Parts: sequence; structure tokens; C-alpha cells
Amino acid sequence: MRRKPYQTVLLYAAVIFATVVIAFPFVWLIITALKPYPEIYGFPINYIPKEPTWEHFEYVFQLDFATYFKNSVIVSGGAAILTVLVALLPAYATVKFNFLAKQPILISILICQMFPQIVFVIPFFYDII
Amino acid sequence: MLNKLYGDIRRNAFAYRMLIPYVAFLALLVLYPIITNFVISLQVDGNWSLQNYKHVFQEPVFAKVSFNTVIWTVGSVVLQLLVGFLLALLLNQEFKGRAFFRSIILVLPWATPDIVVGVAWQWMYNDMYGVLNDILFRLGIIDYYLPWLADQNLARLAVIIANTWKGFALSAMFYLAALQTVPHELYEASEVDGANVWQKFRNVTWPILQPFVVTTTMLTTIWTINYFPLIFTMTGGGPANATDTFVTYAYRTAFRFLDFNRSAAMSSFTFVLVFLISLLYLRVLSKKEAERQ
Repeated sequence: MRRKPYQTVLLYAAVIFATVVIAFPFVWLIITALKPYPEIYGFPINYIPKEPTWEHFEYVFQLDFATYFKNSVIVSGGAAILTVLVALLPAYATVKFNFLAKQPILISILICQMFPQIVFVIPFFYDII
Repeated sequence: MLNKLYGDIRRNAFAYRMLIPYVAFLALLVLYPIITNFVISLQVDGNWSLQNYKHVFQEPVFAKVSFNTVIWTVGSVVLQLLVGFLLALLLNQEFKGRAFFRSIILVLPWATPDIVVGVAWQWMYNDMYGVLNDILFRLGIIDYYLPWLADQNLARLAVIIANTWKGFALSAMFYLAALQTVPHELYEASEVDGANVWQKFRNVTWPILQPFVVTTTMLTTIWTINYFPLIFTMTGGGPANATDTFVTYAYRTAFRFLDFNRSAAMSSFTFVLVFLISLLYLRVLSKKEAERQ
């Protein structure tokens, strides 16, 4: 199917419009991070920082950044590795074999999606006995 | 019955052995907390009782919270599916630089952490220094700055828009994957038959996409009802409980009012609700499947 020139223009216009709208909140996050405080709480709004500054980034690195980073890596890396290890075997089993427990296992995956996360949090804080 | 299962286990011993770690983790990390949660919800001062459920349902804000949950879920799901669908159709076209646009549109919102999304949107919605008011004012859409997160209806709209931004990418990815399974020959054949764009969509694309739409709607509904961090960082359930949903309510009951029993009752109720909704979707799905055969 060949496109007519006006169709190509329309297509690009739509794609670029969508990209700009969708990227905007993220771009705005970065712009705000580079503004000094008077500009953040300034009126009217500057779309391009007049005096870009790294002070907020410096502040973040002054905090115990290394510890936070280490914790994030341990938690997310550990969760990812465990998830892959645990999920790999039943995935293979349900694809390659036909057995009675296959359907219940597949449904259990869906059911696990249904719990509000708070269900898993409360038992940590509450002693049943 | 048990005999049959026993025979099956002996025949497929290898497959069943592969399930052991999964089942063990499920029991430890899912089944145990859920049963504990349910038991907690049935206790008052160490005695068995339905008081917690009664309290939750008789709460004056319960009707409002239910209403909010419905608005939040329906609004987010409809918008996410619609935006995701349109963008999937757009990104399925062939054009130069498609990989670049795909990676920005599909990955950027989805990969941004929940809390970051909440804080970023909260700042954009700020009534004095927020960029959204500024843009809308410059475009002439509004005559005065709107208090996005302070007005009840605007706050509901605001969290739904932010959630749509965060969540549409997932449904767009599902649809994009589905669109790529549509065989090219079908389009060519329908073009030979002289079908226009709408007819091609209606008779070729849509029938293949339909089961994916049902599945995506189901998963998005489940996730949206249970989605908590965005509302909590943006409004904390306010103003005047206008954005309080079942899960934010359950969280506040537990960790601000320290009433774990009542919070457990609320979350158990939410799970049952989600479960019933999923059953509904699964029925639609199996009915569609039956029609097909």
C-alpha cells in the first residue's frame, strides 16, 4: 500500500504530536530539576531555565545516596533473579507437558494479580496469636 | 478422582517436580499472608466476629469511596484502552524513525517509577506554579487558573489523567503485539476486493484484535482497582475523600488509624470484588472462544 504525500505528512504530524505530549511530563521533570528555587516558585513560568543549576543533584548526592542505591540494587536485583528462577520451571512445564494441574496453575497466575498489595503488608505488622 | 490425580502425577512426574518451587513460593508468599489477612479481618480483640465488615460497610464515607473507585476504575480503564489502542494503530504503520518514536511513547511513561509519576504530576497540577494551568491559559482554554488538586471533581479527573499517562503504554504494547499477528495477505486480499480503510479495520483487524481487547481490559481493570501509589502520592485520598478508593482507604485505616482488623476487612472485600469482576470477563472470553469454534 503506497501512501499519498498528504497522508505521510498527517502520519508524522500525529506521531510527533503524540510524542511531544507523552514526553512532556518527563521533560518537565528534568527542566524543573535544573532550575534554582526562585525560578521553580517564579511567575510567570520559565520554560527554559535562565540559570540552570546542579544544586538539587548535588543535594541528592550529599544524602546517603550510596546506601539508597545499594538497597535498590539488592531489592530489585534479588526480586528479579528469584522471580526468574521460580517462574522458569513451571513456565516450561505448562508449555511442554499436558497434565491435570496445568489449568489450575495457569489460573493461579491470574488470581495472584487480583490481590491489593496491602493484603500482603498487614500480616507483617500484625501478630495473629 | 484421587486415583486419577495419582496416576497423572506418576505419568508426568517430571512436570510436577518442576512445579514444586512455584507452589512452595505461592504457599509462603501468597497463601500464608492472604489467610492471615482474612483471619485478622474476622477478629475483634481476639474474638471471632463480623464486626469489622459491618463497620466498613456502615462507614459514612463508604458510599463515596465506592463511587470514587468506580469513577477511577472506569475512567482510567476506558482512557487507557482508547489511548493505547489509537497509539498502537499509529505505531503499527511503517515509517522512518518508528523504533525511536516507539521507544519514547511506549517505554518512557511505563518505565517511570510510580512515586516519581505522582510527584511530577502533582507539581504540574499545582494551582499557582503548575505548568498545566499556564499552558491551558496561554492556549485560551481556561480563563483563570484551576485548583486541580483542591476541587473534588477536578482532583478525580487529575488522578485519572495521570494514571492514563502512566498506564496506557501497557495496553498499547499488548495491542501492538496483537496487530503484528494479523497476516499481511488478508489486507492485500481485502484491497483486491476493493475494501476501504474502515472496512479493512472492521473485517480484518478487529476480529483478530477482539480477544486481546477483552484480556487487556480485564488485566487493566484488575490493576487499576488495586493501584495505590499514584493516588496516594498525588492527593493522599483528598480533597474531602474525593479520590479515596478502596485501597487508599484500606491503607489509611491500617497505617494512620492503626486499625489493622478493619483494614484487613476492607482489603478482603476488595479482593472478592476484583475476583467477581474477573469471572465476568472470563465468561465473556470463553463465550467468544466458543463462538469462534
